[in-house]
Amino acid sequence: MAQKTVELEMVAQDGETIVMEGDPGSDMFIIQDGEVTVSRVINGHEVVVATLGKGSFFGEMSLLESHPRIATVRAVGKTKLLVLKRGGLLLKIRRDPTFALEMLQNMSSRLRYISQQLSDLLASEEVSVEKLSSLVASAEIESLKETET
Amino acid sequence: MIWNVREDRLLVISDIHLGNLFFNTSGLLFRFLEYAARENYNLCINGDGLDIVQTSLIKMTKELSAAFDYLGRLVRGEARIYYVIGNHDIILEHFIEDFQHIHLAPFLNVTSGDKRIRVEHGHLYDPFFARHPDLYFAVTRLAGLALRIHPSLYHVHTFNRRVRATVNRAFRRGDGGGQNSSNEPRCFRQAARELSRRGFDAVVLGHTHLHGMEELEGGGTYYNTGSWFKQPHYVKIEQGDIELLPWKG
Repeated sequence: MAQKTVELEMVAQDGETIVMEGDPGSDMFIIQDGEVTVSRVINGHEVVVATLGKGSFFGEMSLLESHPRIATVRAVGKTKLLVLKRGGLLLKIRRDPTFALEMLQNMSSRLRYISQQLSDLLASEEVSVEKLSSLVASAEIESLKETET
Repeated sequence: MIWNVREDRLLVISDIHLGNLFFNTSGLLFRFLEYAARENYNLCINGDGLDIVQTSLIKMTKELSAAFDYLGRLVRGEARIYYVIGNHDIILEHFIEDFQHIHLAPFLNVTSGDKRIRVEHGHLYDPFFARHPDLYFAVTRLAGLALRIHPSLYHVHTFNRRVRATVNRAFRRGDGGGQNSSNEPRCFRQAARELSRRGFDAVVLGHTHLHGMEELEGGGTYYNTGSWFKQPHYVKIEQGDIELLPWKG
């Protein structure tokens, strides 16, 4: 079980699930130290789509839109996280305004990638549920890569 | 906009204020740029490299021409030059962009070795600038005029700031502890701490003209490169090792 510390910091142990795909949730997480894997269920199989390290963030879509989690995130080794809630996000941006810019760039990158891939898919006229699922998953990988570089 | 970069050899300087009437260390600066070129370092000018607020056009023209010459030497050695915008050069973006080899950025997230380092000018954390940017600009211009009348007023200003910071420090309670080596207002240290909580091992700011470093509560180190008015300092980043050093030319 995650150990909550002061100032909304949390430590997750190796293999611990931080968020689960499909679960409700409105927290966003920033990795202060350690690593996590991000996985999604595609065609009935759980597939690891990315590994995120120090400084990366995840969970922002659920925080912003109040939708269920779209991926499962698990700690790799002992991982220290900063947890942001709705009210906390505003305070964070007030104190650390460039964080908002980094979130925007991440989302812009995701949108650009998915638009391009969707255009290519529609042009090829071979649209299937499997291809669309894989497109959404790969868009997430791209945006996570942007966060990491 | 590119702000996530990987650099294993990077020098960071700030607050040079080229063109400012009271900047008289251009010789030291040019020798520093020569050193960077000779030793194959990449360079980050962390804000206020130029000064449009308290400037002399003639002085700026002379100094800029020489500075761009030295920056050209760096580029010919295939070094990368980053320019993080500060508050004294915020309206000069298009002008700086003319020198096509400079990468302009609002801040840099540098990965070096296994370290993550935030390089940012820091004016966003100055409460006066953040709350009243127009007034800040006007006061800075007025200060420039006052300094033309009597340059020693700058010493009055720095003395006043030092006294206020010392008083603030004497009454500081529970804001993170640690030794503040430069007597600067604590808002900058708080900003550095806020940034370090996002997984940065080090935060490098400028803006305050007060060089120094200190360990932050909860981890991370805060560096300030000060200014090039009197005692030039720079940050050297090599494979994740970070040092604040004086430049004596």
